[in-house]
Amino acid sequence: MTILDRGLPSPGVSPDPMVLLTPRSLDEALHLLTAEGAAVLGGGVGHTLRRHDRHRRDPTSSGSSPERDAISQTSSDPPHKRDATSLVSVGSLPELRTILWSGEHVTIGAGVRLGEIEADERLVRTWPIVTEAAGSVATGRIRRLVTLGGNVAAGDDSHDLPVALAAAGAVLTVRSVSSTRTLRIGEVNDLGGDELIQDVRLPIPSGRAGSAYEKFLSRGVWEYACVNVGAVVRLDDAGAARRLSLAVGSVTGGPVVIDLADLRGSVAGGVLIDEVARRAAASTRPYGDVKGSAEYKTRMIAEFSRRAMTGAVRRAEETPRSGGEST
Amino acid sequence: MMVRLRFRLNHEDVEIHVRDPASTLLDVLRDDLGLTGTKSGCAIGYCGACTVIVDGEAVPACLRMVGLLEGREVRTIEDLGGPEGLDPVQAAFVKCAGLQCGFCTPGHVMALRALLDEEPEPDDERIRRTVDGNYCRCTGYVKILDAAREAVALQKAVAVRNSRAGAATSPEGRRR
Ligand SMILES: Cc1cc2nc3c(=O)[nH]c(=O)nc-3n(C[C@H](O)[C@H](O)[C@H](O)COP(=O)(O)OP(=O)(O)OC[C@H]3O[C@@H](n4cnc5c(N)ncnc54)[C@H](O)[C@@H]3O)c2cc1C
Ligand code: FES
Ligand code: FES
Repeated sequence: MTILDRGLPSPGVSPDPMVLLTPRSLDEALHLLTAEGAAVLGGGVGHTLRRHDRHRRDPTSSGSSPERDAISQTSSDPPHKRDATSLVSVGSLPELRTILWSGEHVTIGAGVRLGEIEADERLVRTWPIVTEAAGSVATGRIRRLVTLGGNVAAGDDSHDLPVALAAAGAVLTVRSVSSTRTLRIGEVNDLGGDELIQDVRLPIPSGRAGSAYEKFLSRGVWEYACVNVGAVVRLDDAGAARRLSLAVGSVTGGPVVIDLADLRGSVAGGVLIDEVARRAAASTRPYGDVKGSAEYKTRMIAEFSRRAMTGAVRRAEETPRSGGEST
Repeated sequence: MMVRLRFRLNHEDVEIHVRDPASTLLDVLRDDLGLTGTKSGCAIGYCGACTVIVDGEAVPACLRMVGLLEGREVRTIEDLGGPEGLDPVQAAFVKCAGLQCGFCTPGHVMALRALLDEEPEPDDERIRRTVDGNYCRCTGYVKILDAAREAVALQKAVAVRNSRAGAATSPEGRRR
């Protein structure tokens, strides 16, 4: 056995070390989170980026690069997680590591890694929008580390899972020592300092349902999205859209769920898809950055909304007619 | 205050004392343990130069908090090769000249080592997806992909040789 002592802190190490707590059960984790300065630790990728970013802003550290700027831009601290002094590791808690199927719902634990979501065959069949979004994040090596809870809780408008989950109508189960409540994806910034996301619940689609995820990479290589869009539809036997939903990411306040309520009942064809794309572009506010100007992104939002909706409709059409109508 | 951590590192039990358990495995490997074969290219998960194997899976050491490694099995580039020769992945990089400056090579080698441990005969698509996680600013990737394919062939040859040697000495060997 080798025993070594860490000497002087090396460059890059924060002068204020973190306390890292590894509870054995969810209840223990919830208790630890009641302490002042305690924050949830999922896979640790976001926390590590944030530490790096803080060091980078230190004038004594080395200069910036576009990639680092891209990271710092997308790794700003969510309001509920500033100034953490201790990290409560929940990424290995058995209670958060399962994908459970009940009659009407699938419940994905917050500690499930994106790589596991991407590879889950039943999820691939029922919610391809979710597995495609998971599979679009960075590389397999990073998807092995990132947790669903961490990807969602970061509250980052360009993250992929929140866009897919918002379109799919996901509900977050949020726990603290004293309460259990639910939040929508768009409400994730309401998470309290002593709360954590326990799981993400999705309805199991019935009837002729389809979903699709589109992530536009302006350079064609893996990175954060230029724009990202998720679409979900359910058709009746006559081919009219009974359920219709579209969410757009990488825009101010994103993911933004586009209001399509009045289009329900329309035939799911080119006219409807064009209208969905038009509304997505008209009702979102992208910001200009290294991936494109706001004007360019608006055009891309229209195009990728069209593609996502077309993909979702095609999948719905491929499922056999039931004979009945569902709403 | 120091925090004690124990894990397996290159088949040895190690106990380290870190000031900050939220430090990255990359910093601890390089600065504390003197294992500088693992390179720091970007330190933010993009370049793959820091790839190590944790519990059989390739991961970027720059994104792995060392405090989460308690009880885990870590392998670094220093684990490969030895007196008996190079690892087939290393040998393939040498044979195919899959490097120029060599800075990215440990990351490529570890990523491909993990791939071949999991899937001894990966198809080209899987090889490409693996190499996609590692930047190389010198070679243009053609020779790296050649090296990856060669590694599959060399490893297969080693497996055949080992199974022949096993068959000659043990009855079990014949069945493999
Ligand atoms: C090179 C690189 C490329 C990337 N590319 C993409 C990409 O293309 N798309 C994308 O979506 N993301 C991308 N990411 C970002 C990554 O998905 C996020 O950093 C993610 O937040 C990391 O998740 P984690 O589990 O490691 O979280 P952590 O770092 O552990 O946590 C992140 C935040 O969530 C909080 N948190 C974690 N779990 C919970 C929980 N269960 N309940 C409440 N709060 C919680 C933490 O307190 C923290 O504020 C990339 C990252 C890297 C390094
Ligand atoms: S140093 Fe870790 S990925 Fe670049
Ligand atoms: S050989 Fe120089 S970076 Fe790859």
